[in-house]
Amino acid sequence: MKQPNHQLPKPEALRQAYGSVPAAVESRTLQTLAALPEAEPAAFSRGKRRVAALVLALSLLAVSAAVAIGLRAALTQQLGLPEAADALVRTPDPAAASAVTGMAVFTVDSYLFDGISLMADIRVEPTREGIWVLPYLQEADLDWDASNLNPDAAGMSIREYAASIGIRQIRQLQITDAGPSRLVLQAQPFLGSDGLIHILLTSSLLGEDRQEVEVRFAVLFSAQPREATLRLPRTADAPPQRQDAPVTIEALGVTVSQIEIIRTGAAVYCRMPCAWQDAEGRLPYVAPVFLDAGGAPIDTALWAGIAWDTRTRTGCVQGMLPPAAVTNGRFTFRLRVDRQLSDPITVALPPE
Amino acid sequence: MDKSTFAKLYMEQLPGLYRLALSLLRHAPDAEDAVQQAAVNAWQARDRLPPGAERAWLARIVINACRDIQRQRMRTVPGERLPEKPEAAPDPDLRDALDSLPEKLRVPVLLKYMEGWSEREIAAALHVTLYAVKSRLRRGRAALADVLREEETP
Repeated sequence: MKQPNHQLPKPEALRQAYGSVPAAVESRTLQTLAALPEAEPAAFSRGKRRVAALVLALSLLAVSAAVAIGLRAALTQQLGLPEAADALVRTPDPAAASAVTGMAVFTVDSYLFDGISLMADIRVEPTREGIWVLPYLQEADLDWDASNLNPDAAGMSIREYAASIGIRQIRQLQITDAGPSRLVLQAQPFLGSDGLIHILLTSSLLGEDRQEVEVRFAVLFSAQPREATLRLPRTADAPPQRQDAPVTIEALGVTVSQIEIIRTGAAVYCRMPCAWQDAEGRLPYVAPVFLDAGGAPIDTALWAGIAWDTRTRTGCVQGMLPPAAVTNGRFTFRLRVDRQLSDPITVALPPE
Repeated sequence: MDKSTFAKLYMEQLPGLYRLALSLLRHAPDAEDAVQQAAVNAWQARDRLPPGAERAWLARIVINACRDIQRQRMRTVPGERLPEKPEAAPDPDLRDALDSLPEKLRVPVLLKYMEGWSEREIAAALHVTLYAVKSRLRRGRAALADVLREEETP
């Protein structure tokens, strides 16, 4: 016997089952459409297009192979580097260290690597229109407070903040030591004042003295995982000098009791452990504002905003000291707490 | 077709295209990617846009973009994907029931009964015959009814 037809849900109920189009999708689509090139489409037939695509693919293959061979030869000749067994970027010059994934360029702006510990500031520059990368170390970071990226985003999750500034995808960026243990480095992503994403890497977990460290990036978005690898040679034979500057700053409720200064040659890296005194209320945005010899603020793009440990109400701001901030072996900064600035604080560097 | 006309057309169709991508991929960020990629692909191929059948043509492009993403997924090592927050559907049972249908039946059912497409349009978008669409709709309705009936049974 035929079963009676079950009443199908109404179209509106079906649409609701899938939800409405999120505003972020609409906004992203508008951006995508606005970024479309105006050029006329190629007026080829399907057959011609296929032939053209095949010819283009073969040409690109030949050209990229030639370029890769040429580049490697040129690098090997100019820099006196040994031939690498793979296509990884090798460079003794931090400013030139970069890796391209096809969707983003990773550039090491500065780093210190003494054979055991690594501190690096790595810039991430998307190369495709409308593509953004927001790096993450691990899943737990998704609950990380977005005030690390922007004080105005305090109280928002990374995901909410990303959506609010038009970042369309949150995908994972894994930064791992390529050694046998493949231990995860500590990484702190932040948006620099240059508008680009920076990642501050710190690690002292390499178990043995090494001549080189390999940093691998896995970028996952648009369902197209890509990888890029940077190889960073050690910056100096001698280990960097470490010194704690005995300073106590109680600026606007935030205490910095010491500044750790790590120096290798001209590169200076600073860590400022902070504590927030108030037991109640949200944790503030904290960052140093370095001053030049004339007392004018210097761009602090290479400094990460603070990452608070909400349990202990302690955190740390860290980064490379801008060379312009150093005058006569000293540097001066104001501590920014949310939108307020402390009085200038001067700290002496250890001698070279 | 100029860019503003194309943009207007695409934005008009976006809700349906997004739901189509979501029904195929069942993953909001991927569906979002798919409609973006489809916009770029459609713009590049706009000289082939058939007048009067824009909706089906765009849907075809979205489906292709979803297929590309599905192929990429197969190459992605499990565990690399971030877990997404479950999307808040007003009627999760109905969504589950729809999602339980095989894709072959689910997509025509959604296009017909959710988006109000004609069978001819569905055939054009899915690159199948009109007969196949009618058959899939019949089977899809029956399958959905079965699932909903099961859910109602205490």
